[in-house]
Amino acid sequence: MRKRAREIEFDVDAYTARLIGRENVSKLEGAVLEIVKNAYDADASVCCLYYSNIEECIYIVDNGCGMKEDVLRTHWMTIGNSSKKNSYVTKKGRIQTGAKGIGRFALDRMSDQCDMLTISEEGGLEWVVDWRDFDGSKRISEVKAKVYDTDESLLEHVGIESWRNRAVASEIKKCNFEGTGTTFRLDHLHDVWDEKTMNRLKNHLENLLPPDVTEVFSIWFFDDSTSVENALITSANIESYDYRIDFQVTENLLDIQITRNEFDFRGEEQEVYAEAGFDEQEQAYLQGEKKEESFSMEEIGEKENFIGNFEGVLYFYKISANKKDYERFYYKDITGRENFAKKFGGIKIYRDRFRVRPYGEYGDNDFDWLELSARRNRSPAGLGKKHGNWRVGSEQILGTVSISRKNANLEDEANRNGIQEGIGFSQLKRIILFVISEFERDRQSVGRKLARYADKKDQLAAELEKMRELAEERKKWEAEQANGQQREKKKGAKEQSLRMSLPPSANPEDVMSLVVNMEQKQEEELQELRNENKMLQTLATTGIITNMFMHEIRTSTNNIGLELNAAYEAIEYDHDVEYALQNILRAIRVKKNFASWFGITIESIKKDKRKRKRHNIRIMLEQYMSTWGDILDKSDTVLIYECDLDIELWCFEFDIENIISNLIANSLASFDREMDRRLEKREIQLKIFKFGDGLSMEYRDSGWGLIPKYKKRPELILEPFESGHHFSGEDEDDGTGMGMWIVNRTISEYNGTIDLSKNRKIETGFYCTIILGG
Amino acid sequence: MYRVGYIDDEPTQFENYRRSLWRRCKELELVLIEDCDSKQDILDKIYEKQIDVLLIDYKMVKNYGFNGTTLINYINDSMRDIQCFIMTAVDTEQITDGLVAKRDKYSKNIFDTEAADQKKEEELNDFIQVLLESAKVFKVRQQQKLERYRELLDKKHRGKLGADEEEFLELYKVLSSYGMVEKLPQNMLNSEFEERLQKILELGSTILAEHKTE
Repeated sequence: MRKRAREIEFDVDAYTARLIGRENVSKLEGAVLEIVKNAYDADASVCCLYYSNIEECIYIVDNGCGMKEDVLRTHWMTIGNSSKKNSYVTKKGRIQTGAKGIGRFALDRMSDQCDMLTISEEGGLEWVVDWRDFDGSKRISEVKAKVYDTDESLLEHVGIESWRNRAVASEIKKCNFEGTGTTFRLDHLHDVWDEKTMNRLKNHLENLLPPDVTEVFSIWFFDDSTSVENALITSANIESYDYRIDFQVTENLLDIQITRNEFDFRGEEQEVYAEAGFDEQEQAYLQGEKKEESFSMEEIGEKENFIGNFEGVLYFYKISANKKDYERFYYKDITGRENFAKKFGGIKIYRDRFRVRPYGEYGDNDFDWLELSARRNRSPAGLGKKHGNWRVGSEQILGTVSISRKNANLEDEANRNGIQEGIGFSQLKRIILFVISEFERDRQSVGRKLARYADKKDQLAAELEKMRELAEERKKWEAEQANGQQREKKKGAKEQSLRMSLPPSANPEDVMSLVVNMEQKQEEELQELRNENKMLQTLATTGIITNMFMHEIRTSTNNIGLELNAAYEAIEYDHDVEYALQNILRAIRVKKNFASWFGITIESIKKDKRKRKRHNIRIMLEQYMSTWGDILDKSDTVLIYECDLDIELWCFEFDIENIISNLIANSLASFDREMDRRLEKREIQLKIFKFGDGLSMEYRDSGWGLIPKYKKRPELILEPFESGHHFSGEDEDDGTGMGMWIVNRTISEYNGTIDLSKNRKIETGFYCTIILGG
Repeated sequence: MYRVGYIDDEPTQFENYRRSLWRRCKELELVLIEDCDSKQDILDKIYEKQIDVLLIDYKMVKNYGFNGTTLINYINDSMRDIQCFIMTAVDTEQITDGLVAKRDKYSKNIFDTEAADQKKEEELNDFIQVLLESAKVFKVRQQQKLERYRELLDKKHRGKLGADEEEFLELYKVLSSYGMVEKLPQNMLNSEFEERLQKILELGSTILAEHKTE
């Protein structure tokens, strides 16, 4: 039976409450940041932090909206309760950046004693707390702060008239501090505020501000000796970039604007434009016109926008360039350029104009949060390289990505250390990487043109020839001399003395043979590399094909095992020999299939296929295509193959096979793509015609065609690591993205071309025309 | 006896699986679901053959246009209670569409016990226990549905079905598909049917009464 009902309150030990606050704001930088954020959230236009060296105390003043008594009581004094949790848009329309109700602990982090004056529309309140009262064994409800009504003004409260730094003080007085706002005086500081600390904090504050925030919010930060110039924090501003890339995601659209600012043709514009082949549009871009591009989410391989709208601006700065590249690529002069990423950080994220740490923080693990370095290692090609993609280095790119509290799926981590991993954050990263690769593609397209132009100009070949001619002349001259000697010899003169009189020089024959040898050696080395390259390409293709048919190969292996096991059980348990026999016969049939797989994979690396010779294409491909026919037949795919009788080509057998294998592998993958309806037919058509001195291959399939990502620009599939997998959430890519790249490389080795343009127009199916050695 | 449905676009191993299952558990019968053109066809066959648990091949795009995981999603939309397992020749990790939980994916190799290898036998027997249990759970749930259905049917007869009509129709659909309740003509399912019947009876009584007084 219940008696005497009463309620007992929960309470918390004061020290614990303080610890919770400290856990959340552990670094001095974090504490200062919190205070500046609070000022910003209060719609202040100025926030001033002054460290008085003489008094060893800190004054903080902002001209925000201040706090009314009920806000002070219910929000400021209630730990964990933030007025920003629910309504986070301020009167000036700023998105408030804090919401955890722990900002005030920033003050505890900085000092033991705090005296606050806050002036709202309702008048002034002074609030005094000594954080040391939280020590000991008191309970939180026993710790009190004192509050007084006061009619002091903000600047009176901080005693501006007695500030030692008169110069800055008089600037501060010019700012609008007459009305509402909040001030603090912090005594008994926990840190030593020496020059080093001041510099560190200043650096942090500079980085805190994106370039465009300073217009609406200024920060003053100084001690007794800081000059006016240095006291006003300016955003780390950046003008001399090589490339600027703006991007905006608006619902289903991604817009990108690329500005080139890297090249300086040093007065040779017209010549370079004409010789390197820049058309009018390209010329305009080189002269600073923005290159604008627009993509739908589908076109960049995203199913839908999980995040909402956001935008950003990225700057590319190369840190150094050698003299050769400087001339070859017509770089503008960058002498004296510093490593900006080191000073300003890399690609930073701002949420409602405040930094989300630690992304882009130099020296932090998350500096390279987009893993640009790993990406560059995977594809280390130089800018001018015909094959392979140039990738930007993590220290060469910086900028800001602006997100908002309004964005979905991008919540802060509870410890304020970044954004929670998840579908939103991975999509954010993918979209930014897409923007970066658009920039890289643009820069490389310029680089490739300039490199080709430079090669044309290259004088080396001409010089070598000249040298040879000279040697030839010299040889003749020497022959004449020798004749002269012999004549003289006959006359009785001494050979010894004559030889001494000859000018000392290298033996021209030696020079010539050296040149010949050098060329030969180079050619041999090149050949070796080419062969090695071929081998690797073929091995890669073998891998791709095996991977592609992994399911079928596994099914066959499994089925052999299952049939044998079933045969065993039929005999062992049922004495059913007839059934067991059927099992064994089926196992044998499956085994036969394996032979075809090996025909396509293992056979392709046989040694005799690695010799380059004149082949009749039809004869060469006969066995290979019939093996494919068998394999395709088993997966209910019709192969229509025709080849002219009289095509002769100087080629490696496996080059041609590689091209065909990769195309077929892609078709099969397309057939097996899951769509909203069944594919009507599975058909592959390959027709090879004679074309000039070479051949033309017409290839098509009846599959689902290229995915939307490549539909507009099918040539993208020729780049390495491009794979037609649709991203949906956290899925990992399952294609290798190497197949078509290998095809493209092989084609260009035969001075060939590949035409994919038809894919732009057609709804389904894949089409391409390849010309080799035409 | 419980019925295990088997769906595969190339069911070459069906007979081997059927025997393997039967040999180890006489309570389970493997039933092939074939000759279907669409997801709806498959669903109809599941009802028709009164399946209690399902084994579905993963890779079915070639003959069906969709994969097993998509099919499971579809089946469970209509039949929440039936447990479906994915059978695959590739690694279960390679199925990354996130439509089916890892614990519900099995390799087809589970039926290959390598001539009575002890560990393999254990694995297969564990799997069979899972199948059996899933089938039993399905049956129990069906039974519960049947009881609820009878309760609602009784209410319906008394004209008190009201807001429960939707539930009644849903239960009727599932249970009649499984032949657990008698099929009713479409118009009898309508809640107004009882009212109209009542009215006709009343009308009849009135007419009768009038005739009597005459």
